[in-house]
Amino acid sequence: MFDDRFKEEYKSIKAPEELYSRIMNTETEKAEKGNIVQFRKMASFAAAAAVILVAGLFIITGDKAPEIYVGTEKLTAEVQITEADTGSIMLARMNNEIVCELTLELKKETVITMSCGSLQSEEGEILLDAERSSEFSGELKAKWIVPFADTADTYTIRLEDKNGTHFINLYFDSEAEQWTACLTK
Amino acid sequence: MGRAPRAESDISAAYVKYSDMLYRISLMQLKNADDAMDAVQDVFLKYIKKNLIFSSEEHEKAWFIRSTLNQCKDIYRKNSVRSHEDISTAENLIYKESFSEDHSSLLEAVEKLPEKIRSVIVLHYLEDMSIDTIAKTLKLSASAVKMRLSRGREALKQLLEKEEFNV
Repeated sequence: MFDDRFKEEYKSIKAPEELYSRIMNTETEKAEKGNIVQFRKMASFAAAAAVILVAGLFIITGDKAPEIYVGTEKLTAEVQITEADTGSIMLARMNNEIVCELTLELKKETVITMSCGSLQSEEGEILLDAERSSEFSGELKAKWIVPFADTADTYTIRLEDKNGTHFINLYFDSEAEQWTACLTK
Repeated sequence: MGRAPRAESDISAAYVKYSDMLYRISLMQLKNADDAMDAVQDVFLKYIKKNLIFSSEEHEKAWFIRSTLNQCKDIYRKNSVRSHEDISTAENLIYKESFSEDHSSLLEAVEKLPEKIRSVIVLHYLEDMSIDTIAKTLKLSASAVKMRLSRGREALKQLLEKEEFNV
């Protein structure tokens, strides 16, 4: 299957020449920036405090990102949720169907699209599928069902409101050997 | 007291040793040059920042390979909603010119394999790593590696047969 010539052709691929300088320049920039940040720390803290105060006033007026829960576990950019963390990501091994129980708290009108599968209400009504997009707001409790899930693929729900876009990604973590949900922006 | 930062001579020695291999592995995972460069850059930046001490060269190599595969997965996930046009520029696909025309089907078939299987096929058949070394590197059992290789060979056979039939 892989003859010597194919292997030679593969091994003839070399890392681009500029890659080393890219690495060292990034590292040098980071080191220099580190020194500057140390020097400006006091001013930065003061500025940050002012920003937090202003942002706090802004948040009170109700401008919030969507909140996403897998079962009862909150999904954030820092916290991924696996099958082991919650019973709300389930794999039916017979037909490789994944069911992910979601609660979306949408503060604003949000356009939702998905790469695969369907969103179904608790009563089994199909709310959304990969063929179309729809707008929702308020609290949405639904099951995300992905039939014939492939561990090589990543499945995505896209949430877009006037503040920006968030992505709920469902992928198979091959190290942990678990289906895992994560949130990206 | 913190460890002294990694010496540039160490960094450059590691770069000479591993960069080509890591770039090739990243290309097979991500299928475009820009993302492959980003993956290798991020791994080396981690190598510099973490300044880990390795018990052996084998241990160091395993760390680099595992970190690269993990970095590729992260990049792949972040890019999962990017359009096909964004990555399929001529420059990004220039690595394919290293392969002769009669090998293009095999290359395409390898790229179609699921990630879990593709990585062991590339490490064993193209990077000449033994099953035991792959198992230690990826923290799998030898039998899991053999199973993935067997599935990979079967999948490649089917993909190539299908390609012949379509031609």
